[in-house]
Amino acid sequence: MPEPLNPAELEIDLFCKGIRIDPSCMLQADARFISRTRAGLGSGLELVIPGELKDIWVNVPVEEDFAQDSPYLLVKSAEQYRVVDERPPGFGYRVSIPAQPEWYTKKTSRGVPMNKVGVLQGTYLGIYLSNSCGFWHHQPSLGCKFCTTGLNVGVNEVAHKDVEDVVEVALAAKEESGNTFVHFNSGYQGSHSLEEVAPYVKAVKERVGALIGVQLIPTRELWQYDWLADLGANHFSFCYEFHNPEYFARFLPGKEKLVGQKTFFNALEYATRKLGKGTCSGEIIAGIEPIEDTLAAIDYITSVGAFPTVCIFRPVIGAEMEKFPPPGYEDMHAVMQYMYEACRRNNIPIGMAPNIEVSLIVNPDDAKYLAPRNLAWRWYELKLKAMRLLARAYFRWELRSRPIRVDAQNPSAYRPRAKAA
Amino acid sequence: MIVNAGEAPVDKRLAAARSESPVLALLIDSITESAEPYRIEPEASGFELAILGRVNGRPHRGRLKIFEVKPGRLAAFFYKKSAVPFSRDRFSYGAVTFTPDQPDRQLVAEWLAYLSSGFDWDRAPSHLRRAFEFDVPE
Repeated sequence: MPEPLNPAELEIDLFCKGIRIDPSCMLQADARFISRTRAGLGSGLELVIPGELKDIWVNVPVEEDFAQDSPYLLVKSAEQYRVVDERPPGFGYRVSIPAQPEWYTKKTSRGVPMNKVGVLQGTYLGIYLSNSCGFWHHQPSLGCKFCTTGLNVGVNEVAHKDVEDVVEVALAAKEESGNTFVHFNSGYQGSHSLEEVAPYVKAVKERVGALIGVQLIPTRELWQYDWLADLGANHFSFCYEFHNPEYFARFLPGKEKLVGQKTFFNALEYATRKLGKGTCSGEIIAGIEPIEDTLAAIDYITSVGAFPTVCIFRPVIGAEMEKFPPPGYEDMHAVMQYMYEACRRNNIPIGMAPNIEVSLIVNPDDAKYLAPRNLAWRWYELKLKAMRLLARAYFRWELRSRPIRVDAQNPSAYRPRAKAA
Repeated sequence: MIVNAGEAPVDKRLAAARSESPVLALLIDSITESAEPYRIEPEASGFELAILGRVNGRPHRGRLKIFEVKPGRLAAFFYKKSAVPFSRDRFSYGAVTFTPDQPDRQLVAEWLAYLSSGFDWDRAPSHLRRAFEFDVPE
């Protein structure tokens, strides 16, 4: 007799199969508008699956061709939204639709629509900086084959983000949406990525007060992570996507040719040593390379003290991999359970920061629903709870705006001295 | 064929487009003579058309919008509109910039072939730019 899925299982199946929208839904009034920005994973409908352990935020595919064939249907009845699985026996799951924040339709003082500067993905504010990814401007393109970053800028986003606009949007998101985490990312910008993000990090830390994440192509100048950390960055993530070197080379031509997989590993290890266990992440895509390689990636990331952010592959519209099939539920369930258990094995503190729910992935602490609730599970969860209590004061401090004395324009104080000839 | 030709706003838009640019005139002639069904969107910015019918077993979602990027330069922007009624998202399949007063039959044929294919990358027109930094009007 089939059982209904638990919240994380439903999250995984929705990522894999997408959802159709019944005419009974009134999403124009009830939902955040869909605006695909950044790599394209935000192309779906944001919804929240309530659960006994935690609520699960998920950005469910609705646009892609595979979603049009989904067995899941979003239905509204008597003011309640439900995800209905049309396969027998026809389970229904209550969900909620997060409302569109008012600031989405406001403009900055410079007249820029705020939603074209940044958007909420789950509960965090995601901002893609500056120009389109440099990989896309090579001939032939060196863009990552799953990505649509280069297709978004100038269409759905403002090409250049002014620091003042970013501060205004971050303030609006904090005050109106309770946002605690501002996540900056950008594509390939040559050797200047971290220098370009520095003023934004400082401005948000000084004038807004938020946890700040930076997701950029890694640099071999590792001292720059020291500089950014002192400017206020709390988290670095490194998207190396595929652990298998052949897949890395095949699907990430720019990262292979101009950066190298080893650079990602070196930067991840350095940043994690700098900021501490559980502060940085290695981001990978599941569902393309063999599962064994995905599990090896999880083992590696957690072994260096970072947490894995595992994206379930989504063949987004307009990407070169648009025609690839999405992965299967069983494989993804196995991957996400393994991810949680790897975090536990390596004592990675997950789910520490307040109000950070990433809707584009199965968060490591979402995956607590997947593992057997044995003694090891209970002990790990107890430790995490204790750590969250202990970390409260730290996060309260980090969420306050405060002066940053470090120069965001000139990192010379951090640059290693040249060795004498 | 243009399925909504004969409607006053559409005819007005077509007449204006013909006088704006010989390339647009050539495009209008091509889609008028084509067996494939197209719909002109007279309310859209620039000059915009949608291809109707089906491709790969699914309804077409492809659109072509032509607009001025800078004086003396137009862009032909290829995209899919969102399948979700309330979404304003647009899915770009690249753009070609061109000079409005130099009609090129081959160029227009490439655009329409790309559009008709459902944006098959193997049918991408010459000089298609997937990434660009100019804003696309709504």
